[in-house]
Amino acid sequence: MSPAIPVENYLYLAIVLFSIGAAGVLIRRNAIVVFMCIELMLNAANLVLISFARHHADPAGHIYVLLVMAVAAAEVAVGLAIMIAMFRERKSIHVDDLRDMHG
Amino acid sequence: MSISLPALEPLLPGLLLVGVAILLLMYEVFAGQADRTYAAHLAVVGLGLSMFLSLKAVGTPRALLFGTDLANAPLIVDDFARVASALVAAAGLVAALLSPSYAKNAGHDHGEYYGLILFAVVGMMIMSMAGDLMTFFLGLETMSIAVYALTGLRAHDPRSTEAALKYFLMGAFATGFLLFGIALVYGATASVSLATLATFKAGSPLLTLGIALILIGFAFKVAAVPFHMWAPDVYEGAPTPVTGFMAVGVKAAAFIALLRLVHSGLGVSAQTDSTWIPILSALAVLTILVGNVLALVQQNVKRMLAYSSVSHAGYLLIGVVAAARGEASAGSAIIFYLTSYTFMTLGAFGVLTFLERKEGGPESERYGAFAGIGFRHPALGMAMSLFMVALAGMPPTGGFFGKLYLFTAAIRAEETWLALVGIAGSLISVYYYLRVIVAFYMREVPEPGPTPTATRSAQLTLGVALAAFFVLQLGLFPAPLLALTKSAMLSLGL
Repeated sequence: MSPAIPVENYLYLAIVLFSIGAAGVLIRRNAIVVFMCIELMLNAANLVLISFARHHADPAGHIYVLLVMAVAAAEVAVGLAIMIAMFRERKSIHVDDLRDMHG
Repeated sequence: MSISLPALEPLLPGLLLVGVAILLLMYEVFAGQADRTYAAHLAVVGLGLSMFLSLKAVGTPRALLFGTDLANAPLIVDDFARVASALVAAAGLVAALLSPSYAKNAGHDHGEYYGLILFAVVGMMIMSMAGDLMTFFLGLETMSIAVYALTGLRAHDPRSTEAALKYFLMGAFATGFLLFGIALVYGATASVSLATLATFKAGSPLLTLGIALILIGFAFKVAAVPFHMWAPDVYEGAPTPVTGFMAVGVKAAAFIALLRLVHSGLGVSAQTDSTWIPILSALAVLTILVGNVLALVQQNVKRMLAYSSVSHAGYLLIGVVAAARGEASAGSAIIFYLTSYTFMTLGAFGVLTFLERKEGGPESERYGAFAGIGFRHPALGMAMSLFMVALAGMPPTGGFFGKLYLFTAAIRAEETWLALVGIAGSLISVYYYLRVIVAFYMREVPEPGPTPTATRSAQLTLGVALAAFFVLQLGLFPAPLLALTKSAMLSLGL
């Protein structure tokens, strides 16, 4: 490892990524894009895990990242299936069109 | 490290369910157009057996799996986990009993349905056993992903897919918060273990932010105000038995995991820097008031029950505050409340399943649609009245003792004002719960109005009868369950 980048920098980058993701979820209206923003939040968490694993010299952190990836993949499978079902019903995956129920 | 089979014995209740679930999924390939009632029966037998195994092991020493001490064991099977496992298995069991006639009615009779319920229950069990935050996360996701799929199972009903997509997006969003919080805690403490977290007395900013994000994730999952927006739509759109399962199972698992968290890491930091108590208290008060007031104005009974479930999360948060204050009786009060809440809510959704019409749709869920049911179906009317009285917290039901223990714990923890807010909320709730009874018994039957076709099946009847039996049993003889919950809390070291 050459002149080390301090772990704080990774943390700040992760916080920025997480914030972009969270803001995207609230602002974007296309369900797929919203879901991509959620993935961004998960990857921000992965970045924190992996950089602190290095910082603490603790291999467990690397394994957590793999676990998170597996979980995220399972989530994608179910999520996209739900979006396809929704698209078949309404020919749209805009979250603004989700308003059969309200009150 | 080698894992020998006997070492897995404490996990038997969960492994059994995984086995049955895989069997159900595999058999689905060969099942063709057959009736899927056998799948419901298999799931019920599996869940019953799993419940029995969990309860039988209560009182035996704590088992640590894949680790040697509390700080490195990812799974802790103690009495707390065993009682919680039995509770979520019971929730799954009643939900599985409610399902066959609903599924046939709605035309989505799939064997996978029961497999998904079993996987969700296993996820809930893992949440209750988790010794570290990462294991907790895996359990939570096992549960959540299964429940997302269950919500959207009526793929040709726009309300069901809408509910599934909303639940999925909000749930995944909450997961993002939770996971980022876990990552920050890992950064601050170099470990995700709850026992290690407990040794950090003064909160560094990283640790504080991490715990705050984890709490936000929790608040989403239990639908605490202001993170409750998804709940009414999802509860309304999901298949009725799934709504019941979601309302009780997900909530019970989340509160049980929160309880373990409070008794390890969060509890210590709460007592030392006391940042969390005001936040949790504010969350509880908002949840009770907003949940109850919005439940008042609903015209759809399923939505009303959704908001009422929000307010029940608020009552339970009072218990969490008391537990964070170090009040020993709060934990057992929470488990007692969750148990009685499980039976009364599943019972209420069971009655709604009974009255579901073939065409479905929101019209059949309005108060008006239930006019005169109490006379046409006397047993059903009595059961619904019992569940509503229990949800309102009146004796002689389990709901009364649940509220009594919870508010007593709050008063003992010197949070009298929280108990008063809880009592005020319960008083408001009497209005909308009694409104259901009024609709059942005292409304004119619109002529020639559509008469709900009560879908009958032996399983559904058994499910509602079981729920009614336990609601009454807990109200008349609360002592055995209370003893069980106390031994559960003792195993947490209290």
